[in-house]
Amino acid sequence: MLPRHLWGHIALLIAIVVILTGCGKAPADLVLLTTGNTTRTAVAAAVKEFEAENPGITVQIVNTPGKDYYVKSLTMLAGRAQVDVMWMGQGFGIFAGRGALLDLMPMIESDSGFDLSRYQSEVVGWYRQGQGIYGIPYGVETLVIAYNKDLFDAAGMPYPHSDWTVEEMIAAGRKLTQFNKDHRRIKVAGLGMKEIDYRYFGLTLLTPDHQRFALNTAEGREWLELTTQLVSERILQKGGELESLDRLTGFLNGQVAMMEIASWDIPEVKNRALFSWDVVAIPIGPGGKRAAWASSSGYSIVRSTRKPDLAWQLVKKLTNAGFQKQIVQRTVPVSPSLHEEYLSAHQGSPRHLSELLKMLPYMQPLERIACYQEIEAEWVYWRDQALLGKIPPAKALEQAESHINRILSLHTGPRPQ
Amino acid sequence: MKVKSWIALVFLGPNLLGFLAFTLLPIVASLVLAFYSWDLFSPPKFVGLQNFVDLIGWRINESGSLEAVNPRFWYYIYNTLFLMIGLPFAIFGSLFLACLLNRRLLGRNLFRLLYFIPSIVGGVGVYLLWKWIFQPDYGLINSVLWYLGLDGPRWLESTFWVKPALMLMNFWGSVGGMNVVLYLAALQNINPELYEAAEVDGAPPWLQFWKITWPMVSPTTFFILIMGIISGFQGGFDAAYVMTRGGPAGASTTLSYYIYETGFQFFYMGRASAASWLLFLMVMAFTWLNWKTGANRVHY
Amino acid sequence: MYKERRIADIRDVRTRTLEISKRTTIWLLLLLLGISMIYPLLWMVGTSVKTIDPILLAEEGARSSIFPEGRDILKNLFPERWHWENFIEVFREVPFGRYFFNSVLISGVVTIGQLITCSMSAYAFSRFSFGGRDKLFFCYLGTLMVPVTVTLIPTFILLSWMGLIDTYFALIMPGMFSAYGTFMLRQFFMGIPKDLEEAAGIDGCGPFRIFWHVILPLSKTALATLAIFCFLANWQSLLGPLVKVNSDELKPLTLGLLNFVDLNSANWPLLMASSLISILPLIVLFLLGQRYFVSGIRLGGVKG
Repeated sequence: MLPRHLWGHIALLIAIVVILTGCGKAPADLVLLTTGNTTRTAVAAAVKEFEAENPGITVQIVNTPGKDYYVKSLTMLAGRAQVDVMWMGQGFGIFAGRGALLDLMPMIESDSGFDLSRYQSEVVGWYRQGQGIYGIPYGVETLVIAYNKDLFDAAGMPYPHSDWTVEEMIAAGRKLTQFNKDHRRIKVAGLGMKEIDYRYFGLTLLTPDHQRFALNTAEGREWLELTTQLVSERILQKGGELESLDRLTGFLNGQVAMMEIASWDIPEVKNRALFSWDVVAIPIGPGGKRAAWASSSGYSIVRSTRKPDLAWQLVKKLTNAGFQKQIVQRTVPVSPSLHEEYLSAHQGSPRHLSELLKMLPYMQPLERIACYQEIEAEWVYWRDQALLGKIPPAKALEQAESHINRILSLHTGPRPQ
Repeated sequence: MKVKSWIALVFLGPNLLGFLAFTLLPIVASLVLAFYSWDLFSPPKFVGLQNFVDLIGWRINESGSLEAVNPRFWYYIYNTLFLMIGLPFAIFGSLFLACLLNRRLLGRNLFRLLYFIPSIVGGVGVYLLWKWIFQPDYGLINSVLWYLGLDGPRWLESTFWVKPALMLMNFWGSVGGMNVVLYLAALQNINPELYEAAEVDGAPPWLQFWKITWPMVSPTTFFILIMGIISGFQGGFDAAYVMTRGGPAGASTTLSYYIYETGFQFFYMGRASAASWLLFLMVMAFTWLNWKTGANRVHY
Repeated sequence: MYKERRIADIRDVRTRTLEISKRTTIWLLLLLLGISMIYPLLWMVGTSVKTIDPILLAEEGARSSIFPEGRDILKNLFPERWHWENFIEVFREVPFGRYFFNSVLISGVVTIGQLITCSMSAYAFSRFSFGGRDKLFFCYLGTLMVPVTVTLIPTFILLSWMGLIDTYFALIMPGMFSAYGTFMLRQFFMGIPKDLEEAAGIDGCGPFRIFWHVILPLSKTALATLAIFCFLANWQSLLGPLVKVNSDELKPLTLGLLNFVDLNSANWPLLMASSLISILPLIVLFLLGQRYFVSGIRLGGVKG
C-alpha cells in the first residue's frame, strides 16, 4: 500500500479544502453589480449609508471593472443567480431589450420623496422603453474637442471658437498636419480621429424607429467618401477606438493638435498634459445641426429581484445628488442643478470646460436596442472595408444596409416578457 | 502491466472523478447547447442542426451560384490557421535558445530568467504596451525602423500586417517560456559522448544539431507541437479582446474571439457552442494526424 | 617527453582561445537578444516609478511621460526621480495583500493537488492496460480543445447548483484535475524504462510501491516542470475566477489588478507596480525550480 506519509499529505490537503469550503458566507439581502474604479469609493460609501439606514440588511457589492463587467453580469443572469441592482451604461439596451429589468414607474409614482424632474429629462428619456422607465441615471458622458494650444500658436493659427463648423475643423486639421521632408512620416497629426463622426453631419446609424439602416443615403455616401478621402490623405488617423486606453497617448505627447475626448478623459489629460490645452464644443455640421455621441451611467433593478422596494431605496442612494457630488471630478452630474459644482470642482482647468456642458442639449446616444452590439460590429466591418480602400464607400454602405437590415428584421419580433 | 481493475481505478479515480464533474460535465453541457437557440435570457429552444448550417452551410443565391451562408466564419478559420504559422518559428526559436542556454556561460541562470520573464508578464498592461509598440506614427518599432532609414508598416491598422504583428507578439511571449524549460531538460538527457564523437569526425555544428540534437529532442518537440496546435487553434482571444477588437475589418478575429463575440456580445450562445464543436473537431483531426504521423518520426 | 607536453599545451591553448571567442560571441548574441526581450520589462519598471501627480509631473517634464515619444524612447524610459512610494501606494489603494494571499493559496493548493492526482492518473494511463484506456485518454485530451468561453456559463450553473459560488472551493477544486498535467506526465512516464519496474516487481513490490519508490523519484524533473506550469497557469487565469467569485476578499491578483484599469483610463504607475509585485513569486519559483527542471526530463513514448 501507499507509504504512510503520503496519506498524511493527502489527508492534510483534504482538510485544507474542507476548511476552506466552510468559509462560505450567508447570502446577502441585496446583490449589487457595479463596475469601475472611479465610482468605487462613492459606491462603498453609499452602500454603507444604506446599510446604516436599513439595519439588518446586507448588500454585497460585486465590482468588475472594464469590459469584463458584461461577461460577469451576463453569466450571473444566465445562471439565474441572485442579482438585484445593476450598473447600467451603454449596455442598457441589451438588458432592457430582453426584458431583464424591472419597470421603475410604479415606484417613482408612489414615492413622494423622489422627484424625477431633478434629473435631466433627455437623459432620463434614454432609460424609457414604451411606457416604462427601466433605470435611473447618475451621470452623463459626452464629447468635446480638445486642442493643443502650443501647436496652434506655433502654426500661427487662431484657436477654435465655440460656433465653429465641421468645415473649419477639417481646414484647421489639414493646416496643422505636418509631415516630415519626404512626406512619409507624420510629425504632427492635425486631427487625431479615426473618422469624422457621422453624427457631426446630422446623420444617424438607424432610422428613428430602429427598424432600418439609415446611412445609405446621398448624405451618408458624401460623408463616407469625405472620410475615406481624408484617411487616404492621412489627415485622419486610422485606429484609436473611443474605448481604448492608449488613445490619448499621441495627444499627451504633443503629436496631435486636435482630438475628440470624452468627459471621463478630462482628469487624465489635465494631470498628464505638459503643454497648454483647452476644449471646445463639437463643431456645427453642414446642415447647421450639431450633435455628438453621448452616454449615461445609472442603476437599474433586475426583474428577478425578491426585494424590489429595498432595491429601489438602494438605487435612489446610488443616483441622488449626494452620490453625484461624490464623483463630480470624473463624471458630469445628470442633475442640471449640480453643473456649477462640476465646473468649480475642476478649478478652471481646462479653461473652457463649460464648452462641455454646452454640448448637453446636442447629445445623441447609441441606439439602445437589444441587438446593438451585433449591428455595430457589422457596421464597423463595412466601414473599415471602405476606410482601408478595399471597396468603394457606396458599395460598403450598400452591403452594410443589407446586412444590418437583415439583423434588425430578425430581432423585431415581440419582446419576450 | 496487467493489474486488477480496482487498482487501476484507485490510481485513476481521484482525477477521473474531478475530471468528470468539473471538466467534462460543463463541456458536455455546452456542446449540447449547440443544438439549441439560446440568447442567455429566455429559455433555450431546440433547433437541430440550424446553428451548424448558419456557420458552415452553403446555399444557392439569386444568381444561381453556390455561396457560403457565413463567409466570414471561413475567413476567421483562415485567420486562426494563418496565425499558427508562427508556431514552427516559436518551436525552433525555443530550441535554438535552449541550445545556447545549455552551454556553460557567464550568468547562464540570469539569461534563462531573462528569457523566461516575457512569458510570465501578463495582463492588460502588457497588451496595451504592445499596442503602443505597434503604433505606426510614434510607436517603438516604427521609430526604430525610422532611424534605420526604413518605413514601417501600419501594423495593427492594416489587414495584412496585423497578423504578423500579433505573431511577433506571441513569439516574444512564448519563445523563452516553458518550451525552453522543456527543451533544456531534454538537452540534458543527450549523452555528451555523441557530440564528442561527432567533433572527432569533424562534423560542423549545424550537422551535429541536425543529426544528434534534433532527433534526440523529438519526443519533446512532439509534445510541444501537440500542445501548440491545441492552444494555437484557441489562440488570439486576449489580443483581440484587449488590442484590436478583432479588426481591422475582421482581420484579427480568430475562432476563439468569434466564439466569445457570438456568445457574449451577440447573444447566440447556441451558435457559439456549435462553433466550438467545429473547433473541437478540427483540433481533434489535427491532433490525431499528428499522433499518427508523429509516432513514426519520434525517436525514443 | 617534455617536448611532447609543450606541443599538447600549445594545441590546448589554441583550442581554448577558439572556445573562448566562440563563447563570447554566443554571450553577446544572448545579451543582444535578451535586451530586446526585456525592453517591455524595463518599461514596466520605469513606468512603475513614474508619478501621476500633475505638479510633480510638470516639474519633471517629458521624462515622466508614460509612453516616451520617438527619439526619447530609451532616454525617457526612466523618470528623473524614482517614486518608489508607488509600491506602497498599491497596498493602500486596494486590498493588495489579500489578493496576493489568495493567489498564492489558490495556485499553491491547485498545484499540489494536480501533482497528486495527475501523477496517479498518468501512471495508470502509461502502465496499466484496461479496457477503453486509450479512448478515455483521448477524451482527456479532447477537453483541452474546447474554448473556455463556452464553458463559462455551464461551469457557473454547475457550481451555483452545488452552492459553491463565491467560495475558495470553487476556485481550487475544479483546477486540481487537469488533462494537461495528465498528458504531460504520461508522456514522461512512457519514457521511463520498464525494466526497473520489472525488477521491482520480481522483488515483490506491488503497483503502489513501484509508483512511490520507482516512478516518482525518477520523475522529480517532470513534477517540478508541471508544478511551474500549473502554478503559472493558475496565477494568470482570469475568466474562471471572474465568474466564480463575487466578493473582494476572495479575488485573486488577476481580478484585483483590474481595479487599476478603468473602462476608460488606467493608473499606469500603480498598474505596473502591482504587476511587478505580482510576478515576483513566479520569478522566485522559477529560480527555485531551475535546479530540478533542467536536470533531465524525457517526454518519450507516443504509443503505449
